[in-house]
Amino acid sequence: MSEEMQRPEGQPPEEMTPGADPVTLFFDAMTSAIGVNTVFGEPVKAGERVLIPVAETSMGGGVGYGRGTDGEGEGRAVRVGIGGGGGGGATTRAVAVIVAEPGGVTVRPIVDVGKLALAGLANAVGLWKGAMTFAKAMRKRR
Amino acid sequence: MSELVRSIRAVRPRLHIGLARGEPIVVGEREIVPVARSVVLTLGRPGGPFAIGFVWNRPVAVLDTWRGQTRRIPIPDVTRRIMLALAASALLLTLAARHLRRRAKSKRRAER
Repeated sequence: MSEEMQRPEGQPPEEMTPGADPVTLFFDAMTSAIGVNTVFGEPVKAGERVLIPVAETSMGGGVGYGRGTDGEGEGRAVRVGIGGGGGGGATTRAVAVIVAEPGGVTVRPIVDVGKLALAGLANAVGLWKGAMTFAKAMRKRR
Repeated sequence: MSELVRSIRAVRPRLHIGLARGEPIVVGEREIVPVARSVVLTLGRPGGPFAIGFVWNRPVAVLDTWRGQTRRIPIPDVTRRIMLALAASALLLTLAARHLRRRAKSKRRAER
């Protein structure tokens, strides 16, 4: 995002008006990502039961921008430059389902097999190496 | 100098950890209130030149109220527990192996 424009002195571009800058918009987006509504989904009715999906959510990002002019002068145009950038990401992972029925409320956990398989693969090499070193050290000890 | 102080103040990280309750859900005679925890870490401030932020929301429990009695039902994160156990076992095994290897090495040196 970069921009260069010619504007008469004293008239800032719309992007520079207070409350509309990217950093404030970023904070607004962050604020909207906080709360119970991002964790607990809409209740789903299934007969007498009500199912509530539960997830863990996270969001992160960054944004920055700057602006500058080539000087100020009475009655002459001022060159204004604006530049900036940003990035971010968000993740959601199902954690459980709440089953509410007139007889009681139960929480049914959801196991993320795919994530566990990936973590297991990453750990397997370390575990194998550790186990081998452990066994070797034990043999030497005897 | 004041500009520098202002810039340093602007980048001061802010951490906020809080519990929040959602709208009650009525099922028959029961009333269920979801509870979640939010962790918010921000760097920068609105209107500043830059901002970095992270928001983490996780479920904590549901409050089940039935005939005037409230019961707190925790929501376990089984996936996270297994992952932590995996990581802890790998770390423990590595540390134990390293410790034993060092002991064996120092023993061999002493024997020489």
